[in-house]
Amino acid sequence: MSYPWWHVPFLTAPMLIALIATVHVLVSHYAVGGGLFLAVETSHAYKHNDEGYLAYLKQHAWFFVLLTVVFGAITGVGIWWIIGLASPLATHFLIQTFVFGWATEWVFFVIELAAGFAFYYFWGKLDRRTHVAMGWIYAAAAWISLVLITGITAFMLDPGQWPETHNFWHGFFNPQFLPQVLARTGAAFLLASMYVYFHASFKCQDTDLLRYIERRSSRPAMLGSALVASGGLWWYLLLPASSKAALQGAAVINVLMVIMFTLTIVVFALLYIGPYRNPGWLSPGFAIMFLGFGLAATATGEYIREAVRKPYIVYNLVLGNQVLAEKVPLLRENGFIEGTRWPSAWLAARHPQLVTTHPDGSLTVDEQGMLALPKYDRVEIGEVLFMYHCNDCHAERSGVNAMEHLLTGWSREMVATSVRHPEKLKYFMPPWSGTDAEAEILTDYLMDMRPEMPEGMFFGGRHDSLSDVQAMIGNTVEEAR
Amino acid sequence: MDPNGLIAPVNELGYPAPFWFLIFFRVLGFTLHLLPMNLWYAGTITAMLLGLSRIPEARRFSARLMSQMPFIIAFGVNLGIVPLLFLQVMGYRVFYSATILMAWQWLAVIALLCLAYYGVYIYAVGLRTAKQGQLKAWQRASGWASALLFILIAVIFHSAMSTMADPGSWPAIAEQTGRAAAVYGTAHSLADPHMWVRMLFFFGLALTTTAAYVSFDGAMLAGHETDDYRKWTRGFAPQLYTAALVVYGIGGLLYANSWDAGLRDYMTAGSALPFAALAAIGPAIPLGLLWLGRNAAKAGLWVIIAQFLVLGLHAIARQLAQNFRLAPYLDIAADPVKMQVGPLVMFLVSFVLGLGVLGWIIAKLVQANRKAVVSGQ
Repeated sequence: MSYPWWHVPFLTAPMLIALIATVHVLVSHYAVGGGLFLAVETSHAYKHNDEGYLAYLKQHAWFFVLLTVVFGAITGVGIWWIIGLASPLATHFLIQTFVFGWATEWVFFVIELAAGFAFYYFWGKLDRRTHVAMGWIYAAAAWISLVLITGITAFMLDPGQWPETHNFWHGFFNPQFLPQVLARTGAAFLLASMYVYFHASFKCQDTDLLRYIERRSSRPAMLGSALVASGGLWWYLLLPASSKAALQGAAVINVLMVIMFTLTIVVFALLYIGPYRNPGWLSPGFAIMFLGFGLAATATGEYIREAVRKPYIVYNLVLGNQVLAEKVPLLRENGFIEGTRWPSAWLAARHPQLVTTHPDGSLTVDEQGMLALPKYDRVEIGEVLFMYHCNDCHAERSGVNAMEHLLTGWSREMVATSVRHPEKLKYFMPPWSGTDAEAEILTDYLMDMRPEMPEGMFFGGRHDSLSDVQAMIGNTVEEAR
Repeated sequence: MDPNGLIAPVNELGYPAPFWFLIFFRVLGFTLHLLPMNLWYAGTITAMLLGLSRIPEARRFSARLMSQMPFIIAFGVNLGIVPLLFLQVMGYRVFYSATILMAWQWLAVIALLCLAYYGVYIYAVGLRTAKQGQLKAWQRASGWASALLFILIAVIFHSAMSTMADPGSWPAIAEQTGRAAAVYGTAHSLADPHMWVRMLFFFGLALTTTAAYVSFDGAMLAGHETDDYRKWTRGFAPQLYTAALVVYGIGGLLYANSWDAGLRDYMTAGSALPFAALAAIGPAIPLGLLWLGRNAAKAGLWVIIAQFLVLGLHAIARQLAQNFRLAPYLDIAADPVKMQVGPLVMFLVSFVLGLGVLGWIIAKLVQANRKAVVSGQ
């Protein structure tokens, strides 16, 4: 870890990524699908000289600009901001690898903006052909930007041959690229129709026109559902084994998967029974519910997509705790503190007697000296290890996966075993990346916060001894080996 | 803590293109970003103040600029992506640490920008729909709030860039705002006088850009407006530019005075002198064009081009000063280069094609605008 760790009490810094990213994708998919909707429908309305529909489309274009150009664009920058703060090593890794992918995406952003503004603000001033062309330029640029960013985000789940070749194209056209492009394109169609329903149900006063909009937008929505389902299935089939295991093994992800699939089925059924077969269902209440379901399904899907990468941020390359996977053996040999900048500088300032600085600027930490420190100092150093090794997923005493609650009633041996083999305890946790002495120090810190077993618990007349539980965990570790 | 021990190590992945290419795009991107960013930074507050004027043309300019502001912000934010992207490629060893030290502020930029942006939209929509030009109180308040938020965002950016260029300050910051070698991300540079004078200097520069834009607007964008309006822009722009130069000059002197001896020598007597001198005297060119072109209808076009060059000189001088301040801690030119030829070509080709598409869009819009002027729409 080359950067300071940002300690966000209760939530943990990476949860902020999830919050901002989830909010962003709900608008960014609409920015793609909505652009295509406007291009297709404006072209259709011009062809049929449908002035009423054109008037509605202009209203919708204003809503679209206000939501996507402002909120969508700024939250997109927000993701960039937050990943740099909460996940700096992985962010730098991705930027260094894909800088020209991002730079190319930027070119398409500029085109999107120019064409989008021209489409709305020059409505009625441009001739019809040019106006529709602006819509199509926007739609094409927006979809290409989706493709470009998907190449990079899909790389994080499976970098394909990149680790061997370090070739941009091998990384970009990774195994997850096509499934995710398919699913995201589908999500863009689906969400666009939901936003259209939402907007039209409030703004369109003409009942016949509302039915018309309802019927026309049901087709891309159903196509979108099909693409999401097929892309999702393809995504699942190509998942790395660890992600499949995480998907099947983690209770939270299980629940979210059920929610996502249920919502998707409900959305598809509502689309088919309602707007597609029986236009006339569309009302503000229906639209809000429909959009709510769609947003919930998309947000859940995004969360799952992020969660199944664990323990990695970039599969097999960067671990969730900002450690390069290839550096783990070195850190185990030389020490986590010795191999990380801010903790080693902190230790050198706080306990200068423990750190030797060599002429080349490298450091050596006296681990035996560290173990010989009074308990207060060991706990303080243990907290440093916790911050840099564990705090990306675990809050301390309260909050997200708070350690205090997880450790209730644990013995020192159980804690020490878990610290040394976290990846055996839960295969989606990063491995221990320090020495045995550092594991002891971290154990000191965790034991310092560990609460006793809650009082008054009864197990049929026999109190389970902690050593029984420890033995059970020990067996599990052995079985895992 | 020794600040040298806090600098991130060189990444083995290396730079994906030669150093000169990356620095060129970083400076070019920053210059392109500066133009719209100066307008929302100093232009919004200027427009809000001019909105209070008794002179109808001043109020007209205020309304025009605020109506254009949503586009200016959209493109400005977008053009900011390039310099920040290349900053992260080349300055990763200090950029991430500096922003993490002040993470909450840095993240707040997103929320503040969103609010300021919507505030501008509320004001601009109000202008479009207001009866007899009378905006509602909450719409006016949105405009003022946006102007203040843009200044607040500037404070945060200056704070971040000052922190980034001064790793020597990091140990104290980490000690004061952290725990267990981690940081709460609550640092700021509000007590740093260096940052404030730099901000004053930069505000003066932004005001000169606003003045240049007044002239450009009158010359190139005000086809629908009255002759009186266009004449007013030609008279007001040099006055505003002159006033802006006073702020710029005072800020510049105070800023230069805040430099340590090494940086002062480098900028005033070392190899950076030509760029520093050009950046300092550069604004004389647009100012001269403004005064000389008071009777020339299209002088505004040349003024904005000259201002763009001034901003470019500033971007170069700023980059040199930043590199110098970081030199004791790292050499940003020392990373290995591992060329990504294919992706680089993809970017350059899309860049050129993008320029072509943009050119086509602009041509169509100009054509449509001309038709609208002729038909009196």
